[in-house]
Amino acid sequence: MNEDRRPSALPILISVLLALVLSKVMLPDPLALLRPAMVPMIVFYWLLMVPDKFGLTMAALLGLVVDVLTGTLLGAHAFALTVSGYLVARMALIVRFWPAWQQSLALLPIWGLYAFLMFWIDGVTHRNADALLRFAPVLTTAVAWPVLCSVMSWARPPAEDT
Amino acid sequence: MDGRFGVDDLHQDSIRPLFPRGPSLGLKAVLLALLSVGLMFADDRTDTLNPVRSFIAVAAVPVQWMSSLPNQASEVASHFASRESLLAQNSDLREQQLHLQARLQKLDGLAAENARIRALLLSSKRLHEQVLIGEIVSSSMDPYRHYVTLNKGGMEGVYKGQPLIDAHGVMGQVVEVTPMNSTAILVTDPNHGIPVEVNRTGLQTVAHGAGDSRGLALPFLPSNADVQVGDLLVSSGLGGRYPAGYPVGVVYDVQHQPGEHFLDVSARPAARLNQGRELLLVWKDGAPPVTNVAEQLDQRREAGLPSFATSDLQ
Repeated sequence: MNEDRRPSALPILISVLLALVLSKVMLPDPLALLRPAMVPMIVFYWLLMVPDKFGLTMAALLGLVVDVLTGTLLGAHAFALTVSGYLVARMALIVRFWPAWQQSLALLPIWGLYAFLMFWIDGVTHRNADALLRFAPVLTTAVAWPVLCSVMSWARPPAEDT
Repeated sequence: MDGRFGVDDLHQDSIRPLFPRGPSLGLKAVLLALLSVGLMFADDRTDTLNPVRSFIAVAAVPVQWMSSLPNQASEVASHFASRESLLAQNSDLREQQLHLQARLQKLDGLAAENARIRALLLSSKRLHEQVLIGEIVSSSMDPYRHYVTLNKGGMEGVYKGQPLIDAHGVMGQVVEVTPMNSTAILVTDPNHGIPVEVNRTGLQTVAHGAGDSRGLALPFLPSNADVQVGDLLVSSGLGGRYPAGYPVGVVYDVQHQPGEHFLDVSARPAARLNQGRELLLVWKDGAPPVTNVAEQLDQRREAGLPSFATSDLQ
């Protein structure tokens, strides 16, 4: 029975693909500013929920893909995801049992760190990005986190065991 | 996120990191971070990572494609939206087209009038005489009294006995002048006669009006006179009233009654007496009309339309 409960790789793959797509979908400018950081959200979710299946290596590889998709410096997203992912993985054991809104609050500094890292890399490599574009998603990501959690628990319901 | 699920997960997944087989979490993070930094450095300073980048890009093509789907969907939506607006635009244009069609019909009338006036002007050019365009304001309805009233009178220099022509031939002459208007008798009035010659032979005679039904009659031609159907009659100018050489009519009937001295010859007037409203008042020797619109228009159309030809008269 326990074997059935183990999440397979499929939901992870699908959700990651969806996150990539959602992060690429064209939005009108004002909405694009508020677009939650989809890929980090899904990465952190899996880091929290199944750390043995989805580790930092996956996070870094996914970061590389994002780098290519968004045309940023190869390794920028990978670096930011690795650093912030490490923090998430460290607090996973505690945070994963909290209610979603509390998780959202706990993760807020990490979103901030993630945004700052991206902003910092932009600065170091003299690619002047709009600071607002980097930091505005922090809040919307925090708001979107409980939504993501409920969507994921609906799409991946706990098996019925009594 | 219920507790039971969490506890189960704890048994399966979360205990493992406590006894990791691979490198610890911190070490892994440091290694990956360093690797990322190295990648960034390499990508920033050199081109060596371009193959890696393009490899990942190729692998990520499906993602790119899927993310463009909503865009395409919205394009389809806008396709339907624009169909609505196209329909509205279509009905608008249809309405507009109706309006314009109506105006175009008016324009057709104007163009026809313009052509008639230009033809008049061309005939005046041929005459080398001073002319003034007049307009018929009324005409008598009596079939045997062919009088018309013109909108030009003594103030414009119209005088009694002044010839009238149109684009195709002689129309008649002025018989009465008031300051603002004048009355003219047409060549088909039974009381009117005009000296003519048969264009083909030079035979001189007089054409009398014969009313609506016959047009013109040539009453005094001897029975052996050379007149045929289709002969063109032109004004001879012998009476001193009409300019010479101007079409008056075309013979359409020649009959000889046995025992009579004269032929019974009928001619159709060359001028289109009952068509159109414009005509020309002709001054023979330079008594100038007040307004000389004719000349100005004439100059503009110097190289112009063919002048009225005899073919018009058939």
